[in-house]
Amino acid sequence: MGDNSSITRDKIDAVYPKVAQAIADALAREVEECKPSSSIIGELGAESIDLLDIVFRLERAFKIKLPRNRIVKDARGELSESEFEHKGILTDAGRTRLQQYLSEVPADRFPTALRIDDVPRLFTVETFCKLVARAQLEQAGAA
Amino acid sequence: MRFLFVDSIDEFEPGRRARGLFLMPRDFALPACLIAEAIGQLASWIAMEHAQFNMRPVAGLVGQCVIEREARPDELVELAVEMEECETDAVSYAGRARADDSAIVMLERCGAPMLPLQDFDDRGATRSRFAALCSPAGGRVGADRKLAMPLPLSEITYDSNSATATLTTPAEADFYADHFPRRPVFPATLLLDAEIRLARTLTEHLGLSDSVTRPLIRVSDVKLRTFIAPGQALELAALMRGHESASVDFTLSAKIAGKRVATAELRLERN
Repeated sequence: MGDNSSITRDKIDAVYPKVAQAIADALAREVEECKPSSSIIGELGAESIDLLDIVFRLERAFKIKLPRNRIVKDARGELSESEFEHKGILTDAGRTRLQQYLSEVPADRFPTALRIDDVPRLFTVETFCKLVARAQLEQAGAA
Repeated sequence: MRFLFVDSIDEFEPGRRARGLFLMPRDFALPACLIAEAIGQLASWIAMEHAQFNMRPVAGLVGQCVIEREARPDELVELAVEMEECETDAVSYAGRARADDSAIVMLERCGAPMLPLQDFDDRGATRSRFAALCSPAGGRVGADRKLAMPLPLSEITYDSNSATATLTTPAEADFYADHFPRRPVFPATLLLDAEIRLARTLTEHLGLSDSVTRPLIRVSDVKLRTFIAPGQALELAALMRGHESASVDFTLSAKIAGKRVATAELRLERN
């Protein structure tokens, strides 16, 4: 599994203001509405094109690259595709991995049968903060 | 073939950049939004070639589109595109169109998801067209004169600072044969053209048109949320957010049956 342990609270807090601003701009929301725990789709009303918009805005704001599907790939880690999901539904092992990876998402938001296509419904503002912080760390490591 | 606005591709760096040409028809001018379409189509060729013609971009996001002027009949428009990202699931790019040493349209921060090309067009035919465009002879097909005629806006109503209108997309039109052969979609650039026209009628209605005669048109944060099918009735709205002596600002939106399908910000500036 992709390691999020190096993403400290300080790092998340450091990127949060710019992440919240980018999300607010993409969704035509007030920045105050974009709390760390706010669900991007459920509470802030994002659609799939908004997610792409958010990613592009974050890449420009932080001068980083955020590969799409990164979260699912990182959460899957060394699990094979079939160990992670079956016919578009996460396996128990896959669901556990994803829940560990998306530790900022309350457990009760994970449905029992989680479709891979519905994973973005779990994303919160903090999910994007972690994504940015991780990309920054990797970029610094590569430099 | 009536909605193809790249006649030839003269420089091509795979996945990175391209330059191309489009010759405006001799005896009529196309709206400037279709020059923006031409830039987007050039970017599409880079994206499709990079994805080995398995995927194609579809309109989604435009950070900023600046229309400096209308293109004139018989002008040879030079198109240039630089890809910022060129992946198999999404692309982003910037581009511009110039003619006679002056800018016509500039696009920045455009983004588009990539979808299976086979859902929209024949893969072999698309490859063949790309090869023709890159050949010395090019692949000019000419433009449809009907595209020079603005699509009619109906039921226009004005409020103290806003205008609404209905745009019914043609149920049948030649341009659907190209946009797209297997899945006809109303082009976002024609929607944008209609939205800008609605905003300009509002400036006239409010007596503000003197401040922005023959304006520089700056459209930003364009977002297209869904495909628009032939024959659909779009509820257009232009809300004037403010104005100064030489500019007027609007928020534009389009809905279908109350559901938001496109949004944008617009500034008309004295040129």
